Order: sequence, then C-alpha cells, then structure tokens
Amino acid sequence: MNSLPLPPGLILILGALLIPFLRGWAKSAYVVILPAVGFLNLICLTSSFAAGGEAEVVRWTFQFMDFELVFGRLDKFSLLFGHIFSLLAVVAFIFILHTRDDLEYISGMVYAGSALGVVFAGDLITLFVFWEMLTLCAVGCALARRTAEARGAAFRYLVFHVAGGVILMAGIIVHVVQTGSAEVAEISWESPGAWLIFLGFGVNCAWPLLHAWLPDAYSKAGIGGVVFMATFTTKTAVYTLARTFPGEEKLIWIGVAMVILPLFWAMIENDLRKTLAYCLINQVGFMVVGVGIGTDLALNGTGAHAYCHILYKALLFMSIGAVMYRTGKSKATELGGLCRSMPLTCLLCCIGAAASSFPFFGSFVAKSMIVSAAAESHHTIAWLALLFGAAGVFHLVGLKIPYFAFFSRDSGIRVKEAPTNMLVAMGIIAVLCFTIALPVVNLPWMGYRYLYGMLPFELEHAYEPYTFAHINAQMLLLAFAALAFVLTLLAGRYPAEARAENLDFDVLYRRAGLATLRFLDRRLNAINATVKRWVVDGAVAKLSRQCAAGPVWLVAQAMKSVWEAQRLDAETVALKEADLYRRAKEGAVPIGASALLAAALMAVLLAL
Amino acid sequence: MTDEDSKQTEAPALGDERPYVRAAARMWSRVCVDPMRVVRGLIYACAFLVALDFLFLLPGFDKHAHHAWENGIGFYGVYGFVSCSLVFFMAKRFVRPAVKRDEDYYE
Repeated sequence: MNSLPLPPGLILILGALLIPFLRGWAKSAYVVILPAVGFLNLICLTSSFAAGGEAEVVRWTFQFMDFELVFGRLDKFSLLFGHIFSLLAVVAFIFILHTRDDLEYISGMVYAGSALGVVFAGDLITLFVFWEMLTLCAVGCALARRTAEARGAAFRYLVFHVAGGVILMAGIIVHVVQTGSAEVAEISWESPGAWLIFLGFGVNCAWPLLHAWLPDAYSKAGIGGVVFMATFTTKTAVYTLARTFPGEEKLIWIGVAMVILPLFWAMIENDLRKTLAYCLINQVGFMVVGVGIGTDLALNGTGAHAYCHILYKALLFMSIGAVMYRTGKSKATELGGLCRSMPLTCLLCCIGAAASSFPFFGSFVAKSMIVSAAAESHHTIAWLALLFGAAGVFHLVGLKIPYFAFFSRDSGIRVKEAPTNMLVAMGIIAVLCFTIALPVVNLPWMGYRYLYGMLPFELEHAYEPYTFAHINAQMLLLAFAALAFVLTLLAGRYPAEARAENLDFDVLYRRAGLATLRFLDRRLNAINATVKRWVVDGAVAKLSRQCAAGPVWLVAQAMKSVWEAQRLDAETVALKEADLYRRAKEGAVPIGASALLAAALMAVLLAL
Repeated sequence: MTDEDSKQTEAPALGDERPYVRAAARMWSRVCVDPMRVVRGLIYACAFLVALDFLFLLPGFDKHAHHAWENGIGFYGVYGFVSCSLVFFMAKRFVRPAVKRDEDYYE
C-alpha cells in the first residue's frame, strides 16, 4: 500500500515522455487514459488520506544535500487543488484529442504534472523546480499555435516569467540561508527573502503592473494550450500565496486592484479571448482578496472559488476555442450570429457564462464565501469592490462574450458545429458546473456540500449559500447589471467594438525593448563607425603603411648614395629607385639591398 | 440588436441542416424580430425582484446584513446597475481614448 498511490505529478510528467513514440489512435487513447489514471490515483490518495484521519501526511521524501525534498505534502488544501487540476487535465485532453500535436500534448501533460508538483511540494526547492517547469510548458502551449504572433508572445512570456523565477529563486535562497528552513509554510516579513518570494509569486498571480503577460499570451496561445494556461499558472500562484502569506493585508488591496482595473480593459477589448483573460485576472483578484483576509471562511472561499472558476473559465475558453477552430476568428468585430450554426457550442458557452454568477451554478456557492468573509471581517471597501467586480464581470463574461460571439448582428459565417470531442469535453464541464452547486444532494461531484466537504477548514457556523436573502440579492445584482447592458446597447451608448490594439503595461517592455534596440543601433553603432573610420581605417592603416614603407625608404636612401657614387645619371637613378619600390612591394628585393638594409639596421642598433 | 437584426425575419441558409440547428435558428430569429421583448422581460424580472425585496420588511425575514445600507430596498439592484454603467462610462470616456492604438501598433 505504501507504493501506491504514486506521486500525482510524476505520473503525468514521466508518462508524457512516451507521447512522441505513439501514433494515431494509440496516441489519442494514451493522452486521455494517462491523466485519467492520474485522476484515479489522486482519488485513491484522497481516500487513503481521509481513512488515515490525520490533518497532514508527508510522503515521498528524498534527501538532497542538506535538504529534505518533499514531493507529497498532503492535506485537504493541497488535495482540493490536486483534485481539480487532475480532473481538468482529463477534460482538456479530450478537448484537444483531434490535434494529435506532440508539442501541445507534451506541454499540456507536463504542465498538469508540474502544477500538481507545486501543489504537493512540501519544500521551497521542489516547489521552485516545478514552478519553473510551469513556465516552460506554458511557452510550449503558446508555441503550439505556430503563428508568428504566438512565437512573439511565447518569447515575451518566457522572458517575463524567467525574470520572475529569478526573483523567486533569490528570495528562496535568502530565506533558506537566513532561517535554515525550506519548508513551504507561512513566511514572516522579518525574513529578508520574504519580499522577493512575495514578488516572485505575484508575477505568476498576474498582480497589477505585473499582469500584462496574461492577456498577451492567452489571446495568442493555441486553442487547447490556453485551457491549460488558464487553469494552472494563476491558480498555483494563489495556492502558494495561501500557503505562505495567508492573512496578509497587502494582498487585500492587491486583490481589490485586480478585481477592478481589468474590467475597463475587458470592456473595450475586441478579442474575445483577451476579454476572457482580463476577466480571469478579475476572478483571481477575488481569490487574492480571500487569501488576504485569511479567515477560515475566506480561505475556504478561495479554495472553492478556484475549483469552480477553473471549471467555468475552462468552459468559456473552450467554447471560444471551438469557435476559433471552426471560423479561424476570435474578434467581436468579425464574429456574431453563430448561434444559428453552432447552437450546442452556444448553449455550452451560455452555461459557462451563467456558471460565473447565477444561483444553482458553481460560482454562486463559492465566490459568495469570499464576499461574505470580507463583510464579516469588516473590510467594507474590499466588500464594495468585490460586489462591483461581481456585477462588472457578469456583464462581461455572462453577457458580452456570448452576445458578440453567438448573437449580435449576423456576421454571415456559416460553419459546422464543433467537433464531437470538443462538445464532449465542454459538456462534461457544463454538467459539473451545474451539479457541483446543487442544493440538498451530497454525492460525488453533486451538491455544494460535496465541494464544501473538500474545503480545508471546518467552520464553526457552516456557510449556507442558498438563503432567500442571498439568492434575491444576487439576482437583483445580475438582473440590474443585465438591464444596464441592454439599455446601454439599445441607446447606442455601449462602447462599440472596434479593431484596435489597446495598450497595457506590456507597452513598457514591448516598446522599451524596441527603443533600446533602436538606441543601441543608432548610438552604439555610430560610435562603432567613428572608431572604424579614425582608428581601424585611419590610424592603424597609416601605421601599417608606414611600417611597410619605412624600411624600403631607408634602403632607397642608402642605395641612392651608392648609385650616385657610381655616377649614374639622374634618370637611371629614378628608374632604379622606382624599380626598388616595385620589388619591395612584390617582396622580390635583391640580395644586395637586403644585406644593405640588414647592415644599416645593425648599425642603428649598435649606435643605440 | 441593431436595425439589421430586426429586419431578419427568417432563418438564413445554414451550413448545418440538423433539426436542432434549424430550431435554434428559428428561435433566435423570433427574438431578433422584436428585441424589445428581451428588454420588457428584463424590466418585469427586475420589478419582480424588487417586489420580493419588500418581503424583508416583514417580520421573520432577515437579510443577515453586515452593513445598514444592505437593508435598503433594491440596494443590490441599484449597486449592480450603477457598477455596470460606471464600467461602460469609464471604459468609453477615459480608458479607450488613453489606450487605443492601431491594430498593427506592435508590428
């Protein structure tokens, strides 16, 4: 029993190595069966953990130099994230079953494995290794689109995240050296590495000013790759923040900024995947606020919201991905009216949109815990910001995305319904979005009590989402938000969708990078050219000419006196002199002249 | 829901002729004929929800409010409406003029 279950991340990472050797149906079957085995393994792990009855179990430890590497720190929190990551890996692979693209398959599989590795890591060194693997796999997922702009985005992603990784590594080194402990646990601000670790996690969490990589890469990544990216990177960052900085007040304000600011960019964005990416930041903001509040209810809310958000955001990215797969377009100005030809995808997208807010869908039972926790802990400004964000994001995810893709004016595009494997994957998630929030029942993946049962903390007063007051409040918020949308649209005051590039903070490095290149090109190359003109072509060439001509001139002067002694006429002397210069140039100097030069040099040396 | 939509009275030719596809197309065409239906439905729904909010004035109904203003009739509705309008307004008036560039800005 001790050998089984296996470390969840390693199954996927090692299993991924086999993918390139398989062909055809074997490959397709393998990429679904492998994460399915991983998921079953995780279920075994959860049940053996539950049977043990302990709060925390540590497994799979290895000694590495002076450190103990822990690959399996199991408690309810890590198992909750492990559960949803493993589950989503299975569905995401069903979604990309038709591609048979090795790069996307391997990146996705190792991505999921690395995310599980981070979640179950018990020490900062193991965490860091898996953390960096996440970055590499995300780059693979972006590259899998195989377009020039995806390559650019992947490269920017790599540079930005490697920079973040270096900051994190520096922080971990300082922290471990100072405290002598590499355990993934609450980090005190007195540790000098704390700020660096905080910032390193913040890069992956897409904090304001550090967030621009997210909409940039997510809007250009592969159709399937973006599902992995949207699921793993930010959620592992939220998880590690909850482990290391729970209850940190700075996080509340960072989270509030994440909830509010992206809404404005999402509002004017034309690319629907970019709109979804901004809304993702908004929802991760809710989780960051939850971590910042740090009470049991807030952290439970963070876990539950991560679970539900992963589901419905994956569904939304999948439905827009299916539209892209069929039409090759993802911009609001180019789409519209697709409900006529892709009605099932439209229905599934609407379910994903509803799952972001409506009662009887995932988010309603999860996100509201964070909002309640903010109210209970008297963070009134944060509470108001969260309500603002909830209304704003409902209009964007719940109304704008389906409206511009599937309804709106008819774009005239007539395509086939999405492929069956895509519909199956989206269908599974749509059903889960609904069943996970059901009241009354409590069966596996059915009923919110099942979800609450997986949450890390036992609450003194159990949280009850289905109260008349809560449902009515939520419906009022949504209905009036929808009314504002419809009235603004009819009044012609809605910001029209426009083909444009909306600047974000990545302009700093995308433009600054270009400006640096131009500066180097103009200034440094100018210095280079001047140096070439004056030194390489000027002084050095002159010196070399003088060095070559000097001895010949000496010889010519010496020979001239010899020729004059022979009483040759001026014309012959001139001819002989010209002949001497020619011979010197050709390297065919007569022996007599060479001997004379040698004698002259010796005389000079002796004189000196 | 522009004029163009409202002129569309029947489902146009589809790439897909499966029955459920045709049914969906018919349903949407009906909505497109009169987008005001959606608005009317939404206004009724809002009115109904505000009416439900009056129930909390009765004894036995409690909002478990943490802030006094939550007890105001339709507080969440007003907040939702204002929030959304604010997002439209700010995005259109301030954010877009500041950040909008040509599509090939980075090329």
